[in-house]
Amino acid sequence: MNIPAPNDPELDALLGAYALDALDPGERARVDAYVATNVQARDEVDELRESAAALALAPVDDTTAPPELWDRISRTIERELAAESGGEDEDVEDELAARRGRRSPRWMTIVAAAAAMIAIALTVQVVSLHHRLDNAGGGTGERAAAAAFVRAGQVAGARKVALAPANGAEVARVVLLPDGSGYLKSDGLAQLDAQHTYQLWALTGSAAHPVAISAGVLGSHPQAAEFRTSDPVLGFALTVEPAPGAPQPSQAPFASALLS
Amino acid sequence: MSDAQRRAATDGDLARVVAEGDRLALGELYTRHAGPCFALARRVLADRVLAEEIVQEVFLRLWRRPERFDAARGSMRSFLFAQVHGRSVDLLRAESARRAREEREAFRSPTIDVDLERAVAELSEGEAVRRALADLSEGERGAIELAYFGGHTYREVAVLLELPEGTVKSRIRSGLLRLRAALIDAGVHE
Repeated sequence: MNIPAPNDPELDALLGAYALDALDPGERARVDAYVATNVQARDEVDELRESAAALALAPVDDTTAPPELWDRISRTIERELAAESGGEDEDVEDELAARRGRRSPRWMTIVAAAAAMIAIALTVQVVSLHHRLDNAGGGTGERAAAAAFVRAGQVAGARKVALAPANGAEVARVVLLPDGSGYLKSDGLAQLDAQHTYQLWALTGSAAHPVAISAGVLGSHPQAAEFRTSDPVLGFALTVEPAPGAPQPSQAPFASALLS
Repeated sequence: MSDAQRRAATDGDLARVVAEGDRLALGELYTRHAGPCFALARRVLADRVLAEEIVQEVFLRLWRRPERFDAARGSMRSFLFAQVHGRSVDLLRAESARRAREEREAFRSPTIDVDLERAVAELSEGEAVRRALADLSEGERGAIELAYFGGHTYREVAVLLELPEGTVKSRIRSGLLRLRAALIDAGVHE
């Protein structure tokens, strides 16, 4: 079940700039969430992107990709396939596992349900800010968190999930261990201005009555973070909030996923 | 799928075979689209090495996540261009890349001169696109070019053109919608 969003003239006016990647990060996150639930807006974005594709037919000089580029791509794929059969490369294995999961129609259905579920949670639940991350601001804390993310992925029972907007590219990954320790790694979150921060929400409770609880205030440009959860977690979601973070989500998430 | 079948297959068919692990199908998509993707990334970034990295990343992502392409929502070309453009703009907006680009551009022209029509006319679909662009107002075309090829946000475009942000927003949207309608009339888009 998906909950259609009512048309918002202010956000509709941003769709052209959105299709050209010409929004600030905060606005882009808002429109991400809008098009995820508004079919009419999403259709318009698809059409506008077709127009943008026509613009891209105007090259600077030639339209020939460097011949060695395909060789690099092909070699990377060979390494990944070798790692898949040998199971030696944790990062690739993780990625392939995520890929297998995404190919499953059941997974797709669950994510669609998650989007609706999160929307419900964000509109009807009032939750408190349980966790605030002190180390998610760059520097040694973030590097340590990135290393911890890799280690956590190798722990038995680790649950992994990739957070992405509906029909969008992955923006972050989360590993959750059986003891409630969580680790986030991202290379796809755009830099926010100083007045905004990313915030991670853990979805708890039941599918019928989910609750979004803050798992951490991540800062304006997070790359890695550690957090803890105390309740059974159904999934995770990301929002953009006014700095220094919000006690409850102020808007629909721009990226989310359920744990398998 | 044989070589002949791959060459005759639609992009959507190739994407489905890529999802089954056919690397040669990805190679066929690369042959069809990598050149314009590279040109787009290079145009936005003004950097050949970074453009190569972007194209490599986008095609590897298509290999790893083929289900992200939904043929019902648009063409493979527009899907790939959107990925290339989005990643290029993100990279461009990183401060270091922006500084480097500004330094390079200091040796060129102080203004952004895209000369869209000239380049488009050299391509097979170029004439139809050129006519469609010519039908746009100067204001629409200028705002779209600065945003798309310059990698600027609409707020930055408003500053560059000394116009209200709302005017730039509406010009970008109306220009793209009119471009779309013109390309449909010309048979370039369905």
